[in-house]
Amino acid sequence: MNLLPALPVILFLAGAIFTLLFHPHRTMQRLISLGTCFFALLASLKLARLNWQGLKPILRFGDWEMPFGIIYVADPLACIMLITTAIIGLGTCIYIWSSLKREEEHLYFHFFFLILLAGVSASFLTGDLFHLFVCFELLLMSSFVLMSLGSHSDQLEGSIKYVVLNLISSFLFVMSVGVLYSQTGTLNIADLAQKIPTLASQNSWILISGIMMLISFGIKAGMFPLFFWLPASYHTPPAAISALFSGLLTKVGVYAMIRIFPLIYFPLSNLFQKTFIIAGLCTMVIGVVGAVAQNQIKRILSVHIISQVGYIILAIGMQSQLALAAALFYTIHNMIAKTNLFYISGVIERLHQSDDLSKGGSLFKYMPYLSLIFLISALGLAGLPPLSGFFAKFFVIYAAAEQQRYFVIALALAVSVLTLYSMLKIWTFAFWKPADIESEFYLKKALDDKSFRRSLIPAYLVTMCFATLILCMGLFANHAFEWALNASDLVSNPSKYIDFVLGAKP
Amino acid sequence: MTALSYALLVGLLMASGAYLILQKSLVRVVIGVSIISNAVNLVLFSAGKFSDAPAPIIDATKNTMEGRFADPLPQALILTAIVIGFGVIAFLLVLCKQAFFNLNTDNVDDMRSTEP
Repeated sequence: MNLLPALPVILFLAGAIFTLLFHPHRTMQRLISLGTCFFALLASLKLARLNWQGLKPILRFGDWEMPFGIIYVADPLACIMLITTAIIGLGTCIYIWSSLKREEEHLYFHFFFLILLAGVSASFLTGDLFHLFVCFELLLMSSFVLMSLGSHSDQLEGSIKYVVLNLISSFLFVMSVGVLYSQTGTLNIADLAQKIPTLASQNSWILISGIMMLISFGIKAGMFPLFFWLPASYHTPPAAISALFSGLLTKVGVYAMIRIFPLIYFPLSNLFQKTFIIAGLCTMVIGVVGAVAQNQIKRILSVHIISQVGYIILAIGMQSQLALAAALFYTIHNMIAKTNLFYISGVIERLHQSDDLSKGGSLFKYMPYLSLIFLISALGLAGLPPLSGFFAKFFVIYAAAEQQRYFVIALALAVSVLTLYSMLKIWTFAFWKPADIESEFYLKKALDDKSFRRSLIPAYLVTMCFATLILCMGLFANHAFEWALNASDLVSNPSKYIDFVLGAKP
Repeated sequence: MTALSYALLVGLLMASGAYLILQKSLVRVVIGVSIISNAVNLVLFSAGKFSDAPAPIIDATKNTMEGRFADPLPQALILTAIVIGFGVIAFLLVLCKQAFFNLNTDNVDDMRSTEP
């Protein structure tokens, strides 16, 4: 039993326990978080390298024979997601030095942060449906705590909706797992992909389980009729936590869709593809229209998550290998760009004591570098060349053109124009517009304070690195997309995935 | 007959849970969530199929199972689900208590300031 595929999860869990041991010491906890994320990144890179060499990093817990027992499968898709998770974890670790208040950090932030990362990594790695449910609960539980960290009244309001709706989603998921098990007698994803086509093709129980799973992941990802918890809750916690959530949580739902639906349910009935495409289009449009109507930076960004998820769901619905690779590329791009925008919104919030667009302004005059970083991330999100968002959208549209879905293309382009509009809205109001005298006075006073300026350095560092990542992902889009294609190869061809998992030598 | 009454029970629990979740009072929502979690546990339990097959215990004199035997896995699944559900409900209760003290209301309709 080679423990390497579980190493990121083990590291995060161990780190979490160590932060508990050092609880009152802030610096020690920060160092532990930072080290854990760094080593988890190294472990994920090592796993990706093993894939590159043609090995199959699969861990069978307790050495059970293959379709039995829980397995961790570090295939290329899981590795890419793990690397991005570790990068976002690393970024957040550094970012909180300049963003999180001392009392918030004191409420076991680091412990729950690392547990959240452990849950996210484990749900990327697992090859077993019930274990996926357990990982979901692990990450949900810690996200509940993080969301209500500090218990401000708006946080509590947001948390209640978030908690109740996500619990319902988990219940639906576990029910659907139960139904699948009663029909097939297995929980291993590869084994399910193998067994389901051999069952009666119109087995309505499996269809029902698929619909329940679609609703469950739809709630988690923020899909069209099920997203209402997201704009009500994501903007309430401190910016560092919002950034972490926007990068990881909805994307776990999206990942579960990419992993499970093409393998298990798409071969069963084309009902699912149609639902994905229609829901994706509606999500895209409603998300962006909702974002245009908002007037606070964090609210704009959190409503925006929905629209971005729409693109990914749309791409999953188109099902071809190219479309799934586009979905993956889009997911990675969005994780980084969105997280970075939330980081920047946190800095703006600290400079102006509020993220309301009507109160801010003048940031371009006083903070030219921050403005540049914001512009790169925002235009990257909106999809201007040569940034990563352009290629992400380009691949989605290319996949749609390949299947002659011209309506989809028109809508995708219209949505990206509106995205650009809402990003430019933040740019104009927060950066370009001269602030009113009172807020300009406070801004100047804050910037004159040496220790305040010094406290912003970590945030600068992180946002700069992420902006560089966005730029690099755009400039080297061909390489990045090659990896995405390589990863989606296993997902879009069930036979290859089955061979990858079940054909592995013990 | 067992299966039918079992299904009816699950349906009844699910319906009452859904009814409670749609209420305005936060405490009722919590009770609704816990009832639904129990209904879901029962669904998981039924994944093992109802049969009179004996428990899967290997005879001491033999090495393998023989004949029909009941599926033991759903019990492991339901046990995990119960524990997780319990933890989550405990957290939800504390959250509601805190929300009640901070917001001075348990009416969900009065908690709309964060919505877009």
